[in-house]
Amino acid sequence: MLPTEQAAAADAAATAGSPEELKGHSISQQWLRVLGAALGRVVVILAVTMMGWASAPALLGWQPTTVVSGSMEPTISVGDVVVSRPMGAENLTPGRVVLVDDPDHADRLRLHRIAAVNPDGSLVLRGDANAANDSSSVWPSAVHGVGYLRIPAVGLPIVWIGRGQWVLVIIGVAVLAAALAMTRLDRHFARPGRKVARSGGPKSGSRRRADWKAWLGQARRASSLVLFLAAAAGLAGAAVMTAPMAHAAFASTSSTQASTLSSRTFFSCTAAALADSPSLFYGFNDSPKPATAVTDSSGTGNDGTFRMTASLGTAVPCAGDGGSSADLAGLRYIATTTGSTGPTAFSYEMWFKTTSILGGKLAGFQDSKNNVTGVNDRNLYMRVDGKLVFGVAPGGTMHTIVSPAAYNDGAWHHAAVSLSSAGMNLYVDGASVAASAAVTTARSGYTGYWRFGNGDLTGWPGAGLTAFDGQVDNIAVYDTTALTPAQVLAHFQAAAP
Amino acid sequence: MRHSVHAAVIAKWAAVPAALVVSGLLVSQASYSAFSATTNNAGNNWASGSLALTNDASGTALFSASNIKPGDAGSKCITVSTTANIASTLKVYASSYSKGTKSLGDRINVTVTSGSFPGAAPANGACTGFTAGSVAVATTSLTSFAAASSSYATGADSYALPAGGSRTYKIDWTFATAGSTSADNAYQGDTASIGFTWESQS
Repeated sequence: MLPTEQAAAADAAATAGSPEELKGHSISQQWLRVLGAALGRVVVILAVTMMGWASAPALLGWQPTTVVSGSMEPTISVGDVVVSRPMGAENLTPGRVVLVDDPDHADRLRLHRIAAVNPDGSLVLRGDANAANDSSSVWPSAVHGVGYLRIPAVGLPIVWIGRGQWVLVIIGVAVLAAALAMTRLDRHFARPGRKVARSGGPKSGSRRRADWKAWLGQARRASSLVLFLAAAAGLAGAAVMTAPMAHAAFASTSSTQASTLSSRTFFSCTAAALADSPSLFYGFNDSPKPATAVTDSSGTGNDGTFRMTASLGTAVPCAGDGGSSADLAGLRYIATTTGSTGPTAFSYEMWFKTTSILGGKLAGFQDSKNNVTGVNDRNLYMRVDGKLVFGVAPGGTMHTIVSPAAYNDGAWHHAAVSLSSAGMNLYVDGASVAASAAVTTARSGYTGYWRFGNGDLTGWPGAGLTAFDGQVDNIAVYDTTALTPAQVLAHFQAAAP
Repeated sequence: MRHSVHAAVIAKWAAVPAALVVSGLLVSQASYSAFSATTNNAGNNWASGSLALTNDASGTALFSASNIKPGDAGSKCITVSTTANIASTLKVYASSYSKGTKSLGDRINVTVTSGSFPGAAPANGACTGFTAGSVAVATTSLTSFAAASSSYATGADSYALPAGGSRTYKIDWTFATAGSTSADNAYQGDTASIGFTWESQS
């Protein structure tokens, strides 16, 4: 306030001429002085009373805060003082402006409007000028009060000081000082009383006027006191308002749609087959590899044995499995150790790779582990033209379905067959390539062994050699159910790199 | 002279009630307009500031990978920009996270790195030419990232975004193995999803 005092003092020095100067002023100049003083008074008292509005509610426990950012515009601007009244949670309804502990910044207050009340009682806030609700909701316990009074622009000096806008601060102080100085423009109209009193002339007609003017002098001193007290109150108000700042923070979010990461149905062919509970599964992945035994990893103990010699290959169809495959070149084949009755509804599948143009038997259910000929059924074999044939012979009558394409191309292929009341089906590489709904049963009435790679093909149409010359891997038998097309496809896709 | 004195005195004392009435009107009118009506001025630019954050992958998923298996990885780049005329603090956090019924998200490691492109950003979120700056989110599982950073208050990066500024991020993900085939198989056929939200506050 030093500049103000200086300004007032300078003003006083400039206008403290002798009362006689008054006589040189015209009537219009006197009126201008009266009006100027009145205007100055209005400005000063207005400023002080606005400060009073801003600070007096603190006596009631209401909280005045200066708004320092603008997300509540246009209704609440930067520099406004908002007085918040503590209220019960039942008053925290949408549409009300609340002062809360900022959920996103420690030790900050946030002034935003309640946009919604969550079912759990927390409040969703939003700045009027923000495009979206605040991302963080607040609990009613964090609410300091509900906005009750807005005193426009009173806190602007605090904002200016906070931002270091000293030019604006100086302009504001100068305006206030000028207004204070203007209040003294009519001081000459109070002076004459002193002059009259000093002269002491007992002019009878002006006695009452002299008394009145003496009273006026007192009143003037009293009004100075009032001004002083009001200014002090205003300063106290400024001090009260300065302490807490209310941030009406701007916020904006930018989101992406949910990113999704889906894992494969099966990471390996083994996992795919085992997921459908096979009764036999030969993965050829044992380490160390057994001499001639073939381990069943289905959990049913349906182990097998390499016939002739045992040989494993390093080429595998499923990158997820690693390990090795069975090399069936050189008349090698695999037979189960334990016999069983032939399944009625069943599937089996395997991966195979060959370049043979002589054909060969991939799988079949035969009445012995090692005899070249015998009762056989549920056969899958490759013809000399490379096409696959799936055949069953219920009652001895052979029924076959043939793939349209050849597969002796030196690449790994997945073959699966199924037989059930829905018919017989041959799948290659995940898709059905041949089917017959009319054939629903297989040959029954004998105990047999699963043989993979060689077996009797006497009488089967198109058969070439019986020994399959190639590699096989991941042989699975399901002896109670037929795989669905979706299951077959998933088993095929499990091999994808 | 007498009239002037009277007028001066009247003017002098009239100033007090006049100022009181004016201040009362000002405060009551200001309070009424601020606290009585719900207003929504989304997107308008007010004199004291505005914030509008956008990203160049808005409305689309940052990444969408299917049929992933242990060892798979990927990365995407995104640039977040503001048209704000005020400075703000930019953070990134997870929104709407689902780790999947088999907790696939536990095994997806994510890294968020800020950086820049020498020229224009490549299309479709590609990261060709990306030059890494600082690490915003150190490598951690999606689950722990989503747990640690789920709101602005707990968001990562805290970058001082200048008015009209932008920031480019690279998001790397890796499907980390659980250590064994059987342990990995527990995460087969699962889907984790996560939304990344960038928020800027003044």
